[in-house]
Amino acid sequence: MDAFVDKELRGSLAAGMTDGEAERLFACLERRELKAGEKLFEYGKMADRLYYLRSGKLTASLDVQGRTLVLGDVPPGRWLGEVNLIDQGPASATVTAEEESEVYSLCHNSLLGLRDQHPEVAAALLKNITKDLAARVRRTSTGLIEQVNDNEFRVAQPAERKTWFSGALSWLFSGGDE
Amino acid sequence: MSTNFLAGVPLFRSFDESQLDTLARIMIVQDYGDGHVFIREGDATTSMNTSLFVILEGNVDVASSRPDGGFAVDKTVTPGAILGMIGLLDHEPRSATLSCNGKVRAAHLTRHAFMEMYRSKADLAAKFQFAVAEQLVRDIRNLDNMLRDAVLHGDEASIRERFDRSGANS
Repeated sequence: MDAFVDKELRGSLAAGMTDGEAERLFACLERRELKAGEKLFEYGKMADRLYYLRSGKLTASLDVQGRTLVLGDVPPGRWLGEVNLIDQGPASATVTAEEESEVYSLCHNSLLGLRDQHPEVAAALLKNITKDLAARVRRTSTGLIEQVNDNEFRVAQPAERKTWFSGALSWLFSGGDE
Repeated sequence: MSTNFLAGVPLFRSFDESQLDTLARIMIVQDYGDGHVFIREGDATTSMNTSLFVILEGNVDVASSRPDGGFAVDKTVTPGAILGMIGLLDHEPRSATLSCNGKVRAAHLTRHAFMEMYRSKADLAAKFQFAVAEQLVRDIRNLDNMLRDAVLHGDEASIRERFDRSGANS
């Protein structure tokens, strides 16, 4: 792990870890390079990894009844895939490299290994991830319930509602911080 | 057979007896009267007032304000439910009011005890945090499915029903 990446990760996934704990985590990460147009993962296919985008640009999208709904761009420094890291399952979107990109990933089995053998590392990592998950659940669920209870929204045209729900889906994907 | 009051709580189903006992020792069990408010919508979360509650007996109403100025119960949760989990993690203002619907017995974990668990019991903290993450992931998948249906059909007819079944705003 080069020093630059180390510094970046210490400010995100490894926040709050000691040097030794961060090194344990970095030892479990796998590096991958993507060419422009290459898919990182595909909607509906089994996924079990969290990815950290070191450089480049990724785009998340979804095919809805024959058309592509772009959920948003993933800038460097963001992580994604944490849902499948915790609970292996089908990916909820397709993520494609818009340009040459470099990612680091952690798989579900490595997380379980950390939890059993180095619980202090797993606890710190999970603390950082659950904060992000909690913010996503709170903001999306609060926005959703406010919207379906809104009288104007109740009488809006289906197309307007679809637009709002599409935005909320992007919001859920992005963590609600856009 | 464990007699621990946390045995049978879905969030802790992967905990062994020793871990359940350790967790139970740092939680406080209390009885509450009808109408007692655990958490009030809009209240700031601070390190002093943040707790996670496990409902052991009785029912708790989850209510929130409406855009028209009204206030209504979104759902009623039953024993085994975990309340206040998100506030323990993100320190944002509370998104709903949680109050007793009749007499309630609940166990609570203070933020101080939660943080102490990190410092002194890393294996339990990792297991606890993993269980919390699993619950949040279930909520996210549920929200994702609701929104996907709504994008496809353009209406929210099933959202209320599915939302009520989820634990997403508690």
